[in-house]
Amino acid sequence: MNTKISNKGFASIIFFVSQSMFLGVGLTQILNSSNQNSPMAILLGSILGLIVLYLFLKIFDYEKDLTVFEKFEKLYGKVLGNIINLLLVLLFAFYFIYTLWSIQIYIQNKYLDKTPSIIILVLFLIPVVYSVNKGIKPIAKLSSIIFIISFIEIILSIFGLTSVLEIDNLKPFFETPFSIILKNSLYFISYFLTPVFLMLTVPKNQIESSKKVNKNIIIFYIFGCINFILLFTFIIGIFGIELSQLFYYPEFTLVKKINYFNFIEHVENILSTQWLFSLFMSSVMSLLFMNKYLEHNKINKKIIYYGFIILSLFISTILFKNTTIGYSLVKRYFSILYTIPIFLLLLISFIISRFKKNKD
Amino acid sequence: MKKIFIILIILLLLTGCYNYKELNEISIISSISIDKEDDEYLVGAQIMNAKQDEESENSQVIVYTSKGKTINEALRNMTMKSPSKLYGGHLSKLVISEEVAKEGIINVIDMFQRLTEIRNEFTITVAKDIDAKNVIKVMTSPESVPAEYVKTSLESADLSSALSYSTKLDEFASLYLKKGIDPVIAVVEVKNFKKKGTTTDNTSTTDPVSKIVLGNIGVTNEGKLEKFLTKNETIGYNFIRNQVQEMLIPVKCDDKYYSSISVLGNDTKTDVKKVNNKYKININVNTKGIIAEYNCSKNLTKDSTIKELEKNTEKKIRYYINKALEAQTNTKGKFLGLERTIYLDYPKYSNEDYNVKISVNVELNRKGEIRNSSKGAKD
Repeated sequence: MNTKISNKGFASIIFFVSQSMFLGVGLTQILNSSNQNSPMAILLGSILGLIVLYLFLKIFDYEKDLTVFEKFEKLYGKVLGNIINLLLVLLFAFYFIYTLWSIQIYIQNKYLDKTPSIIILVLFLIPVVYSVNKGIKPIAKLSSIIFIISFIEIILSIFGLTSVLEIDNLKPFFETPFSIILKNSLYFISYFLTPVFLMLTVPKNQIESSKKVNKNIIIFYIFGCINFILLFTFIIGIFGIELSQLFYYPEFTLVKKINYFNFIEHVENILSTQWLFSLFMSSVMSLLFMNKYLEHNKINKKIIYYGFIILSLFISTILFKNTTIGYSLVKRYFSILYTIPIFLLLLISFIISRFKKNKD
Repeated sequence: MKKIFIILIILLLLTGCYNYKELNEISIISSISIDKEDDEYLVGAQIMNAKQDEESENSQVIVYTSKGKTINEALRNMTMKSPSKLYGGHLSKLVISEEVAKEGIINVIDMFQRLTEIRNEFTITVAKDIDAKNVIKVMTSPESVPAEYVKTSLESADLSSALSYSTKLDEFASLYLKKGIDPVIAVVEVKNFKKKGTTTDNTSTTDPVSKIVLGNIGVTNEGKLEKFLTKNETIGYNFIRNQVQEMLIPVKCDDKYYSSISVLGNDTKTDVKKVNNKYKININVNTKGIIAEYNCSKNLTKDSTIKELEKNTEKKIRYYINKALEAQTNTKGKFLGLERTIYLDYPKYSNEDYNVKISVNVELNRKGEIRNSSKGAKD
């Protein structure tokens, strides 16, 4: 029996986890700051992001049999490694709670405005916990299935939106100063690549034809970037930058515009599911990260694990007082608390691993 | 056993029955009117009558009105009159009274943008010389739902006459926010508004007592209705904004009689150049059409006659465009968007003067079923 994780399925996870921070946060932040030059900021960010992705892949390649926790213990020693691992778990535990809050706000805003948060979260958490309990192999399979669904949705959205796109809305070109475009390209990297760190939970050798996995991760990374360039182009090209900046979820309002052959409309609830998938995969990966940490430390898993899930269920409903405060706090602190430490950790780990390799 | 238990729980939870509403428990709003009365908004909601059937003589719609300090409050107050919960997911028309529009259309659209259930794809119209609530009360035929009647009339006017232009909520908000351009708004009028016009009697006759008719367009400035354009100004506006798809242009072909040129395609390109620190806007109109009617005696088989007709059509289009440009100089609202055209290429533009050059090219490709007119053939 093949016990290895599907190569493409695993690589496709990057497509979903990279999207999760854009819902309500990343998209509006970049739109409000880069204006009509946002697609340019994304393009620049995609190119610069390859440097971070390179670091990620190098750490992924280091000691292919080990999980991320074992790698850090090996690189930094038992004590420091444990402290780093604990800090990472705390960060991603909060990230998990944030994704739950985010999904609850999004679903209440767009689909079920009368349904209590707790019901939404319980229904959402059942498949999340089930997937995590089944392990990374079914998760990778699930990811490849929902990727196909998302891909079809993207193609259908492009098909339905091209006719209402106005190129003039993207003008005037180069009005935003380059420094702002650069700053936003860095924000793009921050939101896009920070959650990708979660994929390090899986040892590379557990993936089938592991030599090809780097190539596939790069392919899905490029696909994710193209998806965002198109998304920003369509949002600005259809609404104009001034109106786009008003929306909380411009990506949802965008698909509301779709009208196929003048009679198929109201398809936004179907075409917007890729955003739900992204939050779902992010929750799954962050919970898996916690699960593996508990396994790694041989802690009485069930009590802490399920205790944390139940606790996060309640915390996430009262995490922020309102969406304005919630989103603005995330915008302000995500890069400082998550991106900078994680990217620095990747860089230092990369340097130490090179140093150790040369020494050997 | 565990799996069956989980499946059973999921089956119970995922039935989609939570907080559900039956169709007869909701009132589907097809159009909303907004008037002002005693410093409050008087909001009218045209509700689709779900219980109406083919044989019934009942009206297909019911109109409820209610007052409030905000639009939402007025709609909530309406629940005291309506037996079921109002649902705005199928809203297709918003009619605003002239008074409210002059005070600011922008003051009343926030709720429609904010609520998720409402789609921003409905048309905003101004009721000219009549209360907005009366516009949604008039019964129409052949479209028995008045909102649908106005919607299809506007669509048809947009497509085939260039005499109006329907602005949807999203477009209105987008143009309002943009630099160097202001939105326009469609206008509806009611000819001979009478109480009888609000009953089904109005639809069972060949000559309805009250009729909803489309006006030309209204120009806005900073979100407020500024003035109404005339027919020729509206056509000129549509030519400049490249919104003409099909229309008919009456062109004089001798001292007394006219011919009709049916425009079948138009492409207007507006570009701007900065020469000696002065902005020059070029409006290039390329129109293709056919001769739809020719009541003169000139020989239509001659190339010179066609050329003359093309020249006269070009003159007429130039006339329309000049009318719109004149209207623009007499209004504060930048409805033609010429300043925006400059801004898109020269972002540092700050309201300096500019010149406009118009060039029109008309090609008449076909003459219909006959080569010449009967009158021309006899001469």
